[in-house]
Amino acid sequence: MSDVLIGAVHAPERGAWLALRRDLHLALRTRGEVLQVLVFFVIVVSLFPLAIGPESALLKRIAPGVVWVAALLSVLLTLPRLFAQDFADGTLEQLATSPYPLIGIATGKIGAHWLTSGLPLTLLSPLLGLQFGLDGRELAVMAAGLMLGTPVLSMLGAIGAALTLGVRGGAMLMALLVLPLYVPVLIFGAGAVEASAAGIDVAANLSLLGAALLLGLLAAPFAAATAIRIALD
Amino acid sequence: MNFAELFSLQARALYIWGAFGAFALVLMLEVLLLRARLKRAADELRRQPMGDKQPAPSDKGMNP
Amino acid sequence: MSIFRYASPAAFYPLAGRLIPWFAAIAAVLGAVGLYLGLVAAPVDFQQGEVYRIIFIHVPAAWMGMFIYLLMAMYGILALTFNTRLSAMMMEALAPTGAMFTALALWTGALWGKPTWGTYWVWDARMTSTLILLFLYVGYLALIHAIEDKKRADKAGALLAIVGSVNVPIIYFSVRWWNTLHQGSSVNAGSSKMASLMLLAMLIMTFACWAYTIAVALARVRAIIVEREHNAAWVGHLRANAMGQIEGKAA
Repeated sequence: MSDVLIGAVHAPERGAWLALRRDLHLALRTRGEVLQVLVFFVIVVSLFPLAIGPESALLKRIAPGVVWVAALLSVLLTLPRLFAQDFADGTLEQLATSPYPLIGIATGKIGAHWLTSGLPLTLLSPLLGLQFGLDGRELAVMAAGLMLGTPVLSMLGAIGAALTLGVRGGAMLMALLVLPLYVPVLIFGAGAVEASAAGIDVAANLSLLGAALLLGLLAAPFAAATAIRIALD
Repeated sequence: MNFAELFSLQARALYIWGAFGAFALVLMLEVLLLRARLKRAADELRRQPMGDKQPAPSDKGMNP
Repeated sequence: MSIFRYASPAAFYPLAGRLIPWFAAIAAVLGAVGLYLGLVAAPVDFQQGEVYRIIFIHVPAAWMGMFIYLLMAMYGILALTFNTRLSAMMMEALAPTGAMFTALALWTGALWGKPTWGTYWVWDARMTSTLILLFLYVGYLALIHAIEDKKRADKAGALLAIVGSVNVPIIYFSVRWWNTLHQGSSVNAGSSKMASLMLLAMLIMTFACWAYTIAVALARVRAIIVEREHNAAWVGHLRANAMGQIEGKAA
């Protein structure tokens, strides 16, 4: 298990940076995927008014939850591409045996994943919030929450994706594994916006999201790297 | 005790029985399923030819 | 270092077999005592009537769901750090029982809730956390059965259980937070003046469930050992010499 940290020549940060650049290059070539995530996000959010009616007071109330759940599901759908392609064509195996520690590579890939999923979603969220009648302060709190929370979603998702690499029916299984872990992020993220709407202080919710982010940064790359190691053996 | 009270008492009995009954039922089910699993494992062994790793001296000449 | 000798499935198998009847007996005795105390000896609750007696199985079931998951996580740490097959097998053996208790906690909670608070389901902190715990169990079981390579399944399950157990307190905290934020109802499982007799009955029932869990887990791990190690010579010995022993020690 410790070989995800040692047994390599180069520093983890270098591996992280290289992996980040590589994944971003690849994402650039398939720009459409980022667009697809955004479109999915918009569609899912739009389903709710269609399902429960356009009554504005009701929509304003459910907006934080709807946007957050839609963001969760959107991130979930992009997780397979984090490792699956590299696993299938053998690149992941090569990365694992390279002089770069796996933990750095995992961090870089997760970073690239967030930049191409969580970040665009965060930037788009104010527009969607407007559709639901949220006001400026609430939109800001929602975006701040998503900014803090979506990296955590990428990190937890990476663990789930790595655990289910190459498994039949892996995408659905991964969703089952990852969604319960997403619950705290959802609660604090949506809770922050609701607190803002109710006039209560949002600092507590946002701080907890920040704490989750820090905890994730400390532990998730290690767990993801271990999971990759398990999948490759 | 009027009829309403008596009826509500019956209904409450249903909840209690439903809870304790399910508890007992599920536990018994688990044990039964486990017994079946152990039996199946034993049957599988019986059906199998002897393991190919280091057969013990006493097993020589045994047929599946 | 003699205790580590039992880390091999071959040595553990007969040990487990000898332990099972003891724990089964303890479970039966404690269960009888606990049920007697809970159903007969404990007084009727002033407000809730007889229905409150459900807590004598609801609370132990909920506790067991939690404890078993933590125990699985500990075995998971052992499995990953020492690479012992038996640790992973114990996890696999414990999981169904843990899931069962968690599901029972939800079921008995619903049946207690309806006559007491009017609804079968209340989104309070404890019940919601228990529901999520059930999802974690289901996820673990789904994962280890989806991966065909046993070694990989063992390790993946171990990692998942560890990650899950780290998250369980976080999830519980966040759900409690969520609950107070929305001023949801809080289900007090006998919070205020819990008579010492009732507490005793609950504790005895919990220990009974513990003994039951150990007995069942030991039996299940024996099945797992036989299923996995069926090529090994020592299992062949079992086959040749004591076929009935496997079936006889079923529970």
